[in-house]
Amino acid sequence: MPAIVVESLTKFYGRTRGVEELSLEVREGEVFGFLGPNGSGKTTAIRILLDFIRPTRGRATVLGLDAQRDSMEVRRRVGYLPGEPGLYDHMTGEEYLAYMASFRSGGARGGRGATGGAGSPNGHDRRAVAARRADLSRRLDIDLGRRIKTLSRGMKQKVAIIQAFMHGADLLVLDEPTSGLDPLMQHVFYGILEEERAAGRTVFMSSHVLSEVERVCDRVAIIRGGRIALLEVVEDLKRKRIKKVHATFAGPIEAGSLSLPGVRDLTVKPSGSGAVAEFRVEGGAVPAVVRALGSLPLADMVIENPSLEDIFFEFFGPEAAAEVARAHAIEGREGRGQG
Amino acid sequence: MRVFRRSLWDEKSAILIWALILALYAVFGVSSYKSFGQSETLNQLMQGLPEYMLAMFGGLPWGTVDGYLNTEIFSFLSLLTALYAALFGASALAKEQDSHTIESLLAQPVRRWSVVLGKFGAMAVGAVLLNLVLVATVVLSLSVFGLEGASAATYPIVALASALTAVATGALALFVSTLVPDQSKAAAYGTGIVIGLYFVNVIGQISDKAKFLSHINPFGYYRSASIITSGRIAWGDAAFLVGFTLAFLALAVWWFEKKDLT
Repeated sequence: MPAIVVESLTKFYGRTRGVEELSLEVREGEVFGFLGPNGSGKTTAIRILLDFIRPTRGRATVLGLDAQRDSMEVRRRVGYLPGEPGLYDHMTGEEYLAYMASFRSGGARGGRGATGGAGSPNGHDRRAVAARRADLSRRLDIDLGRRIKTLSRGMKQKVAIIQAFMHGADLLVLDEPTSGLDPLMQHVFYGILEEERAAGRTVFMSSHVLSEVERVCDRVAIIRGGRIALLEVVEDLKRKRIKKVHATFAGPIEAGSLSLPGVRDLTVKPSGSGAVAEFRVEGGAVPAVVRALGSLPLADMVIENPSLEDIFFEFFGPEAAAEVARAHAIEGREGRGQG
Repeated sequence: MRVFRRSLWDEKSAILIWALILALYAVFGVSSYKSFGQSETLNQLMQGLPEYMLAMFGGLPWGTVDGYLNTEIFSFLSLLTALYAALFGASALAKEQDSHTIESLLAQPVRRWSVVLGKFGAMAVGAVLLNLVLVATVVLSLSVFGLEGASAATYPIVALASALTAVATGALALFVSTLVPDQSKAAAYGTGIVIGLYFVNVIGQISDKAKFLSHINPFGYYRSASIITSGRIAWGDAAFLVGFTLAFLALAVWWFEKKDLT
């Protein structure tokens, strides 16, 4: 049974489009990345799954349950990390997590249902939840005794992550999970996510960071303008992706020596006694190019993964890339604003 | 139930401060009777007040303990506790939406209507407590200051009527908080509506043409003077206040159940 099935999901806020004719299926036990620029409809789709928003048309099922009609049962079995960690500022982290856990104690269904990993703590098992909470707080290096209003954005994100993960839910729905985390904590988070995957849990996460999705996800959907623009196995996406190569040579080279299948936009310029070559290469052609470079007087080389803008440019053209760049610029300003 | 308990716990400081202020107000009201209530000059002044002011002050003779306390305390009791209820009711759900905590809350297996009822219950308990504190302080102060001739046994019934009025306006404010997902705006609208209703009721009391304004207004069904005189709350008044409360509570639940939380 698929963990999530979305069929022709459409949501309009008045005349403003949230998502339109969105269809996708998330398989049980996979980590699914939902990628797209701000305003593309990621959060709208996620909120429909949690029944915060009611669709204009279409339907969604989560763990075989109707997202609207069976919303209580859905939320009992889902761990949710919101894009904006809305926490109660006057509480300590411990109080907040205890308050959230109190809604699942007693009422939670026992097993993992169709999905989930062995030995996972269920909502009703307070000791298991408490142990998991303690483990997560230790790994994420956060003092849960502090008042939430005194915590930084990144610290609040950690509390929100613990809240989503501590119940050992069958399905994790994560909206921009690493937002606000420093690189070290991102690494810790990816480790936690790996464990969830190994335990057989399903993860549905939105992101606008391609490298993150590549690192942790099995499949990825790119959403643009409220519709699924691309749905790929991550490994396939990597193979198809164009990488940028910047190579510096200690001596002169012939441009023809790099004119290989899969190499595009090649430029070779003299630089001092040597040369500098810049080109783009398709993912599958990288080994052949590296072999060819090895036979040349190579002094230095940078292989750059494309940004989300590059991917969009590659798949959808310059207009889409500009859309992503604008969204990133807005987000950058908002991020600075938040301090 | 958890939302109710948590909301009440979170409001404990506010309830305590309001209770303290209302208790001081009650002590001041009772203690000032001998100076002001028995003053012949003030008695004459009160009798010469315009009709709208007499309507605001309740309509019992100023020179008696009951009349003095009704003018000084009970006629304003419903307004004061309604302001508390409106502030709490209006910010209850708006605050959750404004600070995005509603997402954390509704990501748990909790029904939307139970969140609304939990907030309503906490508001109602706070309003009842404040009225009880004030009346208990009045009754205690009567014996401390040695005042006799008061119909003290009717005062808890006045408190009940005032609490019903406060809860009714609080339910209206709660409905406002489902419509306005901005805490400060919702609080401003909620308290503004309550103050407006109070003065609209005063207009309704003094003008026959505007009497209908009191008939659709919770403050129009809070009659402290009548309760002190008769020793009971009119069933019709209680029924209107309860009906008003249930109507706006139902509206709040209905709207909150159907709205998109964006």
